[in-house]
Amino acid sequence: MPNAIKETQGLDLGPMKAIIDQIERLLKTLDEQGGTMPVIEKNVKAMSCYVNVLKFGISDLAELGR
Amino acid sequence: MINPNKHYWNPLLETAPPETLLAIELKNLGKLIEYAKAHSVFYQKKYQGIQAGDIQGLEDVRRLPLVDKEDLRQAQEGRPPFPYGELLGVDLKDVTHFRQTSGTTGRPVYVPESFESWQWRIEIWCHILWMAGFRESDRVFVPFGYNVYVAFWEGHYAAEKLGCEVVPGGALDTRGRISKMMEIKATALLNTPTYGLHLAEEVSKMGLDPRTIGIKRIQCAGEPLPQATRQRLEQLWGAEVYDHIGGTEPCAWAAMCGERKGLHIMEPFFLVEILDMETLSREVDPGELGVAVVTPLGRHSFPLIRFNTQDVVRRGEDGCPCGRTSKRIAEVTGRSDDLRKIRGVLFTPVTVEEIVRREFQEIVEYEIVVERQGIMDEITLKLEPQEELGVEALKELTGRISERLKTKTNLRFRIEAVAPGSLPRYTLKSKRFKDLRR
Repeated sequence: MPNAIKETQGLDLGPMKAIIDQIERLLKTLDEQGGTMPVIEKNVKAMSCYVNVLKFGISDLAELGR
Repeated sequence: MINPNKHYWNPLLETAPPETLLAIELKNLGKLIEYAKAHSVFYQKKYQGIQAGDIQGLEDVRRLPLVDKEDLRQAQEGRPPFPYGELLGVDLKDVTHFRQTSGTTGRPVYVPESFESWQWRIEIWCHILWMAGFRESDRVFVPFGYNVYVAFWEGHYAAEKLGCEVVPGGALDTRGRISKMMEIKATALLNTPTYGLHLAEEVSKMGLDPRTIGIKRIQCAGEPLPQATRQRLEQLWGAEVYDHIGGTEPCAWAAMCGERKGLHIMEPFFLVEILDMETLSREVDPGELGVAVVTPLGRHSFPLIRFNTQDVVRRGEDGCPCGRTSKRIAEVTGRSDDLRKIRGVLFTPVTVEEIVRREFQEIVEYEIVVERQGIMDEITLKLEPQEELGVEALKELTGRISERLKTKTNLRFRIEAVAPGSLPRYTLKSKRFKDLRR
């Protein structure tokens, strides 16, 4: 078990954080392009909430320099 | 070697060093304070003069004011916007989930969740269910109508997110639920401890053994789960039974791993302080009892900072064979508002539950009633024995339990045996303790 944990703890989280940030930016762009269409607005909003969960689980650690 | 990516829901957080978890918690507490002051009237008033930047360590956290359930009620009573009042931290139009407390200790508190806050709660439940071994291959049966109570909704949505198949069993009676469980070959249950016992009792009455039905794991919610009751459920169902602790206001903030010894605090989603019961100002040491003060760090619609849960817990030792690094709770011993003085003796109903479930399997159901008779407090244990118990065995049982209760609680109970099936069977919160003195 300790080896397995070390393996995970050694991951570079920077690239994952960058992808999460990129998804967030893409969602904003999609929202702007969708104008007032509910299908875009509501689905983008829902997806942003899942991105928020990823930020809590991954980006927070990455920001601490892990 | 265990594959950490399958053993943990988020191995990065679950095995992070404790100092990393604390650093994330303090950073997110600062963000939460800023957010709450900007968006919630309650915190604009309560946090005047407090800045997020003031919080550098746990000693600074201790200087922040505590919030309790009565504060929440007052912030909602007659204050706009209806019904959430001054606590609301988002626009009313962004609230997507209405929840409320059960009202066991007074007027219910209404809890708003935006879709974002709701997903944050679901994520925590994903951790809880994953830790309890729920996987894509599980068919999860939930034998309730969940109404406005939060835990089973959270469990339902989280199980779906894990990829389990979820079967709600609300609009059925108990036997109908048992038939449905068998018909669909359910492998897991989400239920209250009380209802888990009742279901097993009914299965047995149908001439079946609950252990043969195929349930492999049970996640309990909605009520305290003393270790003796948990073990009894495991024995009855032949399944792994898992506990967690939480509430409608703060969400579920600690849960059991596969070791099933104590609970892991869900760090870094929560900053949890276990404080001495007298002054609520000192973090207790491992092995000591304390009151849990909980700050959920990722919810905007209902910001809570230093919420006094009134849950009394014993702080656990750090470290667990499962490899998780979060702080631990050895056991949940009850609620500070459940503590009663009877004839000058401090009493908590959990003590009786421990004795009944651990030592008296002949007792199917029970109820404790406290009354004032003249100037004296009287405490009665109504017990419902197994149907097959004979007169002599019942006499022996009442004598034996009377002695055990006297030894354990320093109180002399009046023991009253009642007819089988006469005490209520609860599905959600059980009410086995009735203090009629007030």
